[in-house]
Parts: sequence; structure tokens; C-alpha cells
Amino acid sequence: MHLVVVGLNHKTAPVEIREKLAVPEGNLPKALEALRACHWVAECCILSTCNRTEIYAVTARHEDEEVLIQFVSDYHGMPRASFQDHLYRHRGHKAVEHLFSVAAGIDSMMVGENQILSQVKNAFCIADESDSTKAILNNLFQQALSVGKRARTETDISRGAFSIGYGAVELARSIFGSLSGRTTLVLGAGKMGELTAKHLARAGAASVIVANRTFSRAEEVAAKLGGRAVPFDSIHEAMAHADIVIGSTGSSEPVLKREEMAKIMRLRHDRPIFLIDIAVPRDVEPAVSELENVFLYDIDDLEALVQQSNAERQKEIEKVQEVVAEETRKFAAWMRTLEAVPLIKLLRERLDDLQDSEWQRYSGKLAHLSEKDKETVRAIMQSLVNKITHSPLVKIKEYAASSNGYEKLDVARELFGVEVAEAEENAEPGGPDTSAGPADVEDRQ
Amino acid sequence: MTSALLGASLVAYFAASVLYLANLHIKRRYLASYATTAAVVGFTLQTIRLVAQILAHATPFADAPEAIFFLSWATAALYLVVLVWFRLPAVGALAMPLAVVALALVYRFPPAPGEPLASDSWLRIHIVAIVASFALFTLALCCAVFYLVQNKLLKSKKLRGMFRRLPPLETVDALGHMLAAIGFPLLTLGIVTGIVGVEMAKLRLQISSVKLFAAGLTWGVYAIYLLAHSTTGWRGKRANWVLIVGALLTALTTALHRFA
Repeated sequence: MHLVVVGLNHKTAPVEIREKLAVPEGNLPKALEALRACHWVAECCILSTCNRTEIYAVTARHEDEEVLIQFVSDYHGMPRASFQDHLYRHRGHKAVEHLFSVAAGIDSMMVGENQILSQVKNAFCIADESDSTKAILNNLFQQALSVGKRARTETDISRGAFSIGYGAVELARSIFGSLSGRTTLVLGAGKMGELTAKHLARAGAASVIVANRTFSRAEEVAAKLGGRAVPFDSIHEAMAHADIVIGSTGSSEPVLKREEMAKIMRLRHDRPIFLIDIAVPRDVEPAVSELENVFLYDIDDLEALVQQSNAERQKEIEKVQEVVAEETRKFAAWMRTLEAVPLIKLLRERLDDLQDSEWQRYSGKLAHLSEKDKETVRAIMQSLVNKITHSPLVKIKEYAASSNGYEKLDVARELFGVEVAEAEENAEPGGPDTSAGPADVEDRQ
Repeated sequence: MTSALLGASLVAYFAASVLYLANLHIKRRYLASYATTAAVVGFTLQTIRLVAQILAHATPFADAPEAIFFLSWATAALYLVVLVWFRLPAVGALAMPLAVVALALVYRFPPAPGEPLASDSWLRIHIVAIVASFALFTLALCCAVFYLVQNKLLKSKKLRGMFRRLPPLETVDALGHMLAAIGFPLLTLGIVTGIVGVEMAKLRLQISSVKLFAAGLTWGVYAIYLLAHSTTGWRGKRANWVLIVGALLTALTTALHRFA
């Protein structure tokens, strides 16, 4: 059996192609069913997000990835030529490495983002529920999820700000600790202010106050954020209670000056306040940051934070790649043992058959022998076969665990005349009887 | 056996200190948990020694080395409590080295010969209360240092490296205040029992005016800090500097002690 992945992502395909080949979550069970019906496809799973559509499958032969491409073409009713150039295909350990990289977040558009991990999990759950996965894909996806978690705990790949909103949350956390129970005041009814407040609300600062010169706009935004609106001339009173203030008005003059802020700080009993000034021109006079317990960050500071985080995450990619490489090696070794098992089993059956047929052939000539002598002859035959096959079988097991074991196993198949397809049909990967295979070899010697 | 326990706990605390400090600068999986394991091992060894001392003679913490040993034990104990409640392993990067310093000082003072000083129950309470308040102020000092560092990083917008591993500003601010607020009544109790104890044993002891002045000053510093905090909500940079000054004064007052 062979593991293959065929797919495209934001690096290889423009959005016009990606959106056409995406499979909405609701359609996944049906699509998987159709895929399973394809000849030679033993296991399959479809990962479809806005940045990628990938089909993972276990097939009888490597060339069967063509079947998958044909499936994509048929399923979406698109000619192959229209998307074929955007596809990537990975086989064997390359496919493993690919999924592990995807789960770890280093194949994402926003390196290190966390959403992909739940998307991989979701794709696997749907495939699992529709019985599209068996031993190999089950293990592969479970490993991928653990690689994703490892990458995020052992490296800083998903640390730091991905956007202005994330940056605001990160800074707020390092000032206040937990954000639950914190109040955010939004000055202005712009899109950016609303988005940043939403980020903070999701992180726990659920209480939101909106102030805008046009009160009705403030009410609109407040309704969207589940907060309340206040008139713009009462912002100083509101700031006495708020912990986080987002400045996003279109005002050409600062709406908050140093002396006003000093007064507000006295009202606040010096409780720390976090001012996020994302307005251009700025809403808060820069001198405000000279005050103690006032933490003022403007749009440039936040942009710098995002860029710095991006740069730091880029540096972490190498560490994540090490994790991915290590886990890929482990998984590939597991897969190789899986492939040695059916081969050994088949070989053993063939030799047993051969012994039986030879015995049948000569049993007439040996009719004069006593039962005891007959038994001795059979024992000699058995012993000879065991002695001859001992070292090849041990070697096959060794090959299976070595780095280029895949090719060596192919050589072994050729030498003993065991066809791949034959092995596939006879062996259910990970099934109960194949697992007894390698242990068998030891027992009979 | 007790000196072996002492040495082993010193080694464990030292390991914990190095690991906690490393944890502030480099990100490695489990670094903080290795550090905590070392701290717990050291603390367990210290506790065994402490119990052994108490069982061996009825008046523990009677002389200088014992009191300092108790201080290092109490600091470690408090740090572990803070770790469990507030999940702030960063604080260990300062609390553990301070516990190491206290423990190393035990070697500096030989046990006082003759009758232990603190045979009077007044002086026994005095030592326990003072040492406990000292441990609380030490932890408050750790919080204050982290507050000042984090405050500086946030103000200057230097958000690299250590920034992410430091505890949140308000958390350490509140924790420092809480520790000082618990330590203050203990300090008061310690000073009062100390004076009464010396009065009761007037024949043998006398109190130096310098020491009394230093103790009064320490008490005054914390009293003003706590009063300002509870009335005007005083906090921030200067308030945290006061916590550092207070802890240094406590150390100074203790250093002025002559135990025998």
C-alpha cells in the first residue's frame, strides 16, 4: 500500500482555482464516499480550507494518484488541464512530511497560526466517521495532530502577534494578566477599532463601551460588539473606569491631551490604563505616555510588534522542521514495518505450499518408510527450509527498519517473486493476523 | 546528617536558580518544570532537616544559623505557594537565588556556643515572626523587581526576548502588595515581642539604639506604603521601589543583630 497526497494551496494556486476546488464541510462525507468507490483507493481523507484542498489516500500503487486527480476533475466537473499545473503530489514519507508541516503551521499563509490544527482534526474526524480511514491514515492524522501540538509547545512558532488585534491582546495580557472582567472603550466607530475591540472581547475583555461623535453610529457598533454607547463628550468619565482605550476617530486634533489624562489618572487612583491609538492622525497626544501607569501604543508600535513577531516566527521554522523531520522518520519506520509484514507472511505461505507439494510428489516413492522415518524426512525438509529462509527473513525485517528500506523491500519482492499487488490483496494493513507475522519468524527457528 | 541535608538542599536550590534564570532567556520545553522539581527537592530536604532540628531540641531557630536557615526555608515555601496559586515560575528566577544566598549564609555563622539565646518564649515568637515577615518581604521584593523590569520594557516598547516570559504587570503589583500586607502585622508582632523579650531578660541582653532605629525605620516604610496604598490606591513604579527599599532595610536590621 502507498501513501499519497494530491493537492494545492495558497502557494501553488490563485484563489480563483482554490475556491473552485474547495469541498465545503457539508459535502465531505459524500465526496469521501465517491472517493472510496474509486478503484485501488483503500483509505482517504480530504483537507479543505480556504487556503488549501488536499486529498490524502492510501492506494495500491504510487501511480494511483492519477485516480485521485481524475476524481477531483470528475467531482468538480472541471477539466484536468484547468488545475493540473497547480497541483503538488507527494508520495510516501514526503506525503507524511507534508501533512506534518501543514499541522505544525509552517505551510500556512500566516506561519504558526493555530486554526489549521483544528481544521486538520476536523478533516480527520469527518473521514473517520464516514469509515474512510483505517490503520495508516488513522495513525498518520493522529501523529499529525501531536506534531502540531509539539511544534507549538516546543517552539515559539505560534507565539506573538499575527495582526494588530493580536498585538493589542498580547500587550493587554502582559499589563493586566487575565482580561476577563476588563472594560474596553472604543473611541470612534471605524472598522479597525471595532475589529480590535472584537479581538480583546474574545480574549476576555467582554465589557465594551463605544463613543462616537455621531451617537447613532456609536449605538450601531455597540450593538455589534454587545456593548453600550456613550456620548462623545463623556469619554473622560468613561476612561476613569475603562482599562483599555482604543483610539480610532477621524479627528484631525488629538482627542486626549496630557493634562486631561493626568486628571483621569487621579480619578483612576493610578490604576494602569492601556491606550491603543490606531487612528491616523493620532487621537492621543504622545506626551501622555510620560505619565506613570499609562501605556500608550500607536499604530506604528503595533505594526512593529507584528513585524517583529513575524520575524521571530520565521526563525522558529527551522526548529519546527526538525520536529517534523524527526516525527516523519518515526512514522516512515512504522510504515516500513507494515510493509515487511505482508511480505514475510506471503513468503512463508509459499514455502509451506512448496513443501507440501514436494512431499505429495515423492510420497509414493517413500511408501516403504516407517511412520517414524517419514516424520524424520519431513522434519529434515522443514529444517532445511527454515535454515535457508532464516537469514533472508531476518534481513527483510532489518531492511524494513532501515532508511532506504522501501527500495530494498522491493528487491526482496523481486527475488522471491512475490508481486506487490498480490501482497496488497492478501494483507489487510494492521489487521490481527499480519501483526503476528514478524513474531512468527522468531518462533519457528 | 543535617549538614549533608544542608549541602544537598543548597545544591538543589542552586540548580533551580540556574534553570529558572535560563528559563527567562531561552525557550526550552520543560525547563521551568525541571527548575520547579529541583526547588521542590531542595525544599523537601530542608523540611526534613527542619523537622529533625525541632525533634532534636525544643528551641529551634535559636541561634543565627538556625534563624537564617529558617528564613531560606520560609522563602522557598512562600515561593512554592506563589507558584501554585499564581502560576508565576518567572518569580523563581529571583526567589530561588535569594534562598541560595540565605542558605549559604548558614555556613558563614557558626552555631552560638552555650545557652541558646531564644530560650525565652517571647524571643522565640520574635524570631519566628520576624523571619516569616522577612520571607514575605523577600517575595514582595522579587515581585517589585519584576514589576520594574516589565514596566520599563512596556514603557520603552522593548518587547523582545524576556518580555514574554515575565509575569503580567498588574499581577506582580497586586501580589507584591498582598505579601507586604501580610508581612507587616508579623513584623509588628516581631518587633513588639523582641522589645518585650529583651526587657524580660534585661540582665543578660541589651538592645542597641541603632538596631531599634533601623527596625523602626523598616516598620515606618511599610506602614507608609500600606497606608498610601489603602487610602489613595498608591501603586506603580515608586510604590514598587519602596518595597525594594523596605526589603533592604529588613536585611540591614537583621544584619545589625548580634545573636549572642
